[in-house]
Amino acid sequence: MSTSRLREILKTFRRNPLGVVGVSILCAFLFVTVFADVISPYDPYERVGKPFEKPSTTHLLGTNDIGQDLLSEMIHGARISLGLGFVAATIAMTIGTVVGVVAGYAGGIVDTILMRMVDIVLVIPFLPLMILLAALLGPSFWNLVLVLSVIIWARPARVIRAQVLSLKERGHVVAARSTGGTVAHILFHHVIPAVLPLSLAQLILATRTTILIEASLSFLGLGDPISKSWGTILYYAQARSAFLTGAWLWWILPPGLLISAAVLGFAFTGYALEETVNPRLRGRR
Amino acid sequence: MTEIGALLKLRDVSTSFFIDQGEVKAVSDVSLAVRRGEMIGLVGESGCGKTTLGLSIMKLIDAPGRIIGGEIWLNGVDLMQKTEKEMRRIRWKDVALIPQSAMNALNPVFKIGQQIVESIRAHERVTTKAAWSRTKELLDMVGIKAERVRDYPHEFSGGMKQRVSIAMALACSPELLLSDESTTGLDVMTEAQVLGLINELQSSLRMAVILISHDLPLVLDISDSLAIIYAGKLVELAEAKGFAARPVHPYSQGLIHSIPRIHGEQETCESIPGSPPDLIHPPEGCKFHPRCAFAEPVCGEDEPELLEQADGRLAACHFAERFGGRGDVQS
Amino acid sequence: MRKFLLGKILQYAIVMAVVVSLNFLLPRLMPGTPIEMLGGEGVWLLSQAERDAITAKHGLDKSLGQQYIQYLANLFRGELGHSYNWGQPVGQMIAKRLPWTLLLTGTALILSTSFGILLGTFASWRRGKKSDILSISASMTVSSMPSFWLGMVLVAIFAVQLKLLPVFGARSPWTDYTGFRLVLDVLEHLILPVTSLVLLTLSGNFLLMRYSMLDVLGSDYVFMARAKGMTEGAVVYRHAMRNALLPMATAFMLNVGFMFSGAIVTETVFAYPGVGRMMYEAALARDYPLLQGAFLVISITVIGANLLSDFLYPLLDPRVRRPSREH
Repeated sequence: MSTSRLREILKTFRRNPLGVVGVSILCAFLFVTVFADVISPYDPYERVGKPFEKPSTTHLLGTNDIGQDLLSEMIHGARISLGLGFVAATIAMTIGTVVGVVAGYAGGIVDTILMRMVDIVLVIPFLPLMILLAALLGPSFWNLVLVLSVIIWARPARVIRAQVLSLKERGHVVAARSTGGTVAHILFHHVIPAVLPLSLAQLILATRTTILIEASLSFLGLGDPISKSWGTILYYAQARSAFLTGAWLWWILPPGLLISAAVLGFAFTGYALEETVNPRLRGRR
Repeated sequence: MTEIGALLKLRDVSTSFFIDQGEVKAVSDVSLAVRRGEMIGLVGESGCGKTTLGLSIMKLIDAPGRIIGGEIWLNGVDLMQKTEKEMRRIRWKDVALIPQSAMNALNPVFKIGQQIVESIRAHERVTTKAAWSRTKELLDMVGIKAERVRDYPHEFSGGMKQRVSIAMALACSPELLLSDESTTGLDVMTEAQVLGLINELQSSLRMAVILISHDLPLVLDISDSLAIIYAGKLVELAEAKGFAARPVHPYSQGLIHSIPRIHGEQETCESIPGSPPDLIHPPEGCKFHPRCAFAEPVCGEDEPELLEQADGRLAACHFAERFGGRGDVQS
Repeated sequence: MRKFLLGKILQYAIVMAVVVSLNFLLPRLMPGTPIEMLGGEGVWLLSQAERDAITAKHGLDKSLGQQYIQYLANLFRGELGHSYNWGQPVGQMIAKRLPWTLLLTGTALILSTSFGILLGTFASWRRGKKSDILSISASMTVSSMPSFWLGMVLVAIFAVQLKLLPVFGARSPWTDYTGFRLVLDVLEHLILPVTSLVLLTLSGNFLLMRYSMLDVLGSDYVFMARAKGMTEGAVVYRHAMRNALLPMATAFMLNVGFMFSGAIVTETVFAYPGVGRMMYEAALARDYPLLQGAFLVISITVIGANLLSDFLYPLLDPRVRRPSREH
């Protein structure tokens, strides 16, 4: 991708109000993730108070059932939730981009087989399959990453393939093909650079999905019980029936709002970016 | 060209589109009369406002567009005074339209018969049965077998779809028919057939037809008169007979010269240099002068009015007499 | 048309085969010994004879091919094994729970689709820069919330704090309502879980319908309907909406799968006695036969719903029902 194209994308992107809001949210979360140790008042794994404490000046969001500081848990939870979501989405997108580029560029029987696989993955109800996989594999960070990426790649693969199909007909790619450029040359010099911005948009949108699903799986008790994500906090809140008491205000509401805000940040950014790199979508609003 | 007893009279009609960048003056101060049974060609390049003018007659201009002034008299009634509800009754009953892209003008999920029947029943109190049998007659009239009345649009070819559109336009026997580039996109053979059909129906049904087109040679032969439009303004209004030999306005000359001459010696198809003007910031003076080969300083300062020439035609050019229209300098 | 449907049947048959094979292969390919996967974590507490019985039952001493045939044969007889925890046949357990899940997801699906259509149509009508950004950001915000969390918040507010609706379950315990009173009781319990499931998919339906409607309203045939002097109602409802609904039909199918996924977490939050909650309990207890059975049944239901929609779609779109003769 040339720098002028990059600059043009940045310029269009900045004019999109949703995109600006999205990026601001993501920057805030990035800050929290990087400086979690500095910001959080306590070690989230230490018992620093009595169980089920109400919010106070010492514990702004109270404590959980074993006396750990909830605010510190949530700050550190950003690392697990966002990190896991991002790693899983990156793996899924790599698979999706490769499948999309290969299917779109090769065409014929390769395309048919790959797209059939995509159809199959899209039809199977994803959460039941993930639960089955997660239950069989056992709870751990990397198992969750594996389970998520195995399912998420299909949709982006379809989007990327469509883009590659239309690229194939464009002037410079047709020219490179007809003058006998090698497949590797065409792919790495013409197709992949042109697809990357769209991949990036899809990556951001996929992260939104992985964060949400990770939260669901952890909430169901299938996440890593040791490294606590926002979903895990909610799992314990549910297990201790926090919503039956006043504790829902500080134990249930904040982690959910954090998940929503993070997901919204990725959604806004992804949509704006998709609209920027894919002018055909601009009329959508 | 007389206005007395005319079916349609436009007086100073102006239509603009108000977009972020400013006001696009798509049609400005157009006055025009169409007699009963007349076939008039409304010709200009794409983007010159001819479609907007046509749709203004039906008051089908949507936001951000608006008819900002003028009178539209149809059958002695000023449509500008009509409410949207009243217009609904006038549309199709008094003035119908053969659309620009027949390919997409038919709703894909309804049978063509249903689409014609609904337009009949929207305007006339007839039984469903009567409407269906009239629909079959209409299809027959445009050369489509009546049994295809229950087919869907996608089951017809492009030319056939255009015939269906014509049958639909005739559903309520309108006195005025607008044909908006209705043969664009068809192959040459089909184009000739469809145009021939419109011509034939026009004379047998005694309808007035406004033939909107970018292709002057195509409509020249079948029109009674011609209205040439440039940058939203009428620049020449003349009888079609003999027009090709003596177009007055330099723009009309350019349109005529776009005809490829197969038998001509050395003469090649020349298109008009330059591109249509920006309608938000149109040029001062004559709107055509930046592209005009004969332009003189006055053309960039004063806008010429549409004036009657000695032979009865109207032209808007400072030097009309030079091009054969013995100009009348007094205003 | 025939070709289209045969193609669809083949496609779903392949998906079905993949699901069944996954169900067979997964426990056998996982790290650890298959006997633990198939016999449960407590298998090592059993005597050698009992372990041998499990090995023989699943044919674990035979080749993978033979095991697969045995597995398929069992499946065809409707034999899904027995739950470790409950000792009951998995098939029966699921049959008892499935109606509740169907009631929950079906209601949510119908409501979400109808509201999506209504709101989307309305928004496309009232188009404007400000209201556009507002409606888009609002719907994106709603779709960013985890549905189980929304469920928890709904319970905390409407059931616990305001005491307007029941906290959990599908029916009030220790009652023997009949007739109208029973229906009312079931509906009361349905409101909150359905709401959180509807919110899960509503914004997607809304945005799609709005986009689809805008697309159609700008089409030539809608313009023609106006030119023909049709009434506003006929233009919007007959000509525009009828076409704008076509993409909604496809979205409906995707939503079926989505709803069943959502049902697992929603049923868990509301302690709703459906297949979803059962799957959750089975996952926590590592009750593999029950877990696999639930996965199989949910998959079959979703695939069946997809197939049904594919069979109904041609009724909506004549271009699929009667492919062109001319081309």
